[in-house]
Amino acid sequence: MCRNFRTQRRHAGLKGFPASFLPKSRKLAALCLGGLVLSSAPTLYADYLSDLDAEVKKVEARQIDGESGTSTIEAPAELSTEDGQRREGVSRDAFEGLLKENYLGTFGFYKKLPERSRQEIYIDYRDGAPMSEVRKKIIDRLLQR
Amino acid sequence: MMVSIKRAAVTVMLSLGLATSQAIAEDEVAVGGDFIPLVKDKPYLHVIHEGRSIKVQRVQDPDYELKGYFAKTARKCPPFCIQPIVPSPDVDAIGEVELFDFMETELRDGTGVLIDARTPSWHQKGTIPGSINLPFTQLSKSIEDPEMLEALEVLGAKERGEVGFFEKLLEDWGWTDTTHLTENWDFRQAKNVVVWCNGPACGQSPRAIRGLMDVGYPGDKIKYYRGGMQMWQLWGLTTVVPR
Repeated sequence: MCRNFRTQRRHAGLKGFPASFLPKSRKLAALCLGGLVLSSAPTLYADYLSDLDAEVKKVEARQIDGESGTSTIEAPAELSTEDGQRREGVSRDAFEGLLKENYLGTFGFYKKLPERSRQEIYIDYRDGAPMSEVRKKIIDRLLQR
Repeated sequence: MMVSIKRAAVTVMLSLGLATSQAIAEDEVAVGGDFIPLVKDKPYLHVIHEGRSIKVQRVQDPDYELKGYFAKTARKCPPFCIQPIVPSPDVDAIGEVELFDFMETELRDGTGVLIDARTPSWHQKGTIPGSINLPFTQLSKSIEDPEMLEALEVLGAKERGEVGFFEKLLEDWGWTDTTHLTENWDFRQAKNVVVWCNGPACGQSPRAIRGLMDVGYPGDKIKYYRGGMQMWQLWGLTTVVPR
């Protein structure tokens, strides 16, 4: 229909179609333009959505607890993967840094553990154990369980 | 026998009174001294979030520093460019103090809705208590789209259906207030909404606001909390991670 409109418009310009044709042609133009805008609407923010998706991966899940007046930050997305998935790229230093930054109390307990237990906990984390399980294990080891 | 019951009752009442006054005293101690209130004379407030009462207050640690994503000063622009104060001339921007008032009035009595206009993946990372997640992607749909219809229903807008001859006549003559009416929609009972996203450099809530206005939602029923998550966290205000 849009192609027809363009053809008609060309004819109108060349051969001087009656004036009554023009309003109709304008309507057609508006429809075509509208169609173009609508069809491109999802793609208008498709790029924006992919930028948003990339950006959200940098955000740590954060809960600021007004009751205790503290801020709890969960693992940054780059380091936290689905439970059960191996975190091959995470070095022991990175794991300890993560622990120190986000779970300072647990990190304090972790430091008190013997080297063998620390290594065991790091391996658990690297092998995909969820952080809640890792933290529980640190406390268990501290309490000699 | 009767005397002993009365005595017991008096003892219970006295102990209850003592317990209550003790609780009040503890609360006063808790909010006195170095306590950092939300604003002067308002130490904290409560909102309902996912059926739970959440206490909104500021982090009390004077050494607390914002870390992580929302502490960053720069992001790629475009698309994450600094936004104007208002996304549309018909919409007012508000700050934290006005948002506290909104939470204690319209949000509490059900005439207002706090909208987290970010995509669900952002919402899941943490949100302002009392917010519901209506992503800008949903609020940018056309008025015929079921997702937009659902959103409008949640927000209290009603489809008008067939408008009677006399009703139309009264409207045309200006005898009926048509401020919140469109040809097909009645926004008179629509809720007052506060829309927010990640902060001054976030375009998600401005898009949501423009989407709502495109379908006729009245600008005077929309407020824009431009500070968003970034300013909320900067003030050390309570956030919740949705369950």
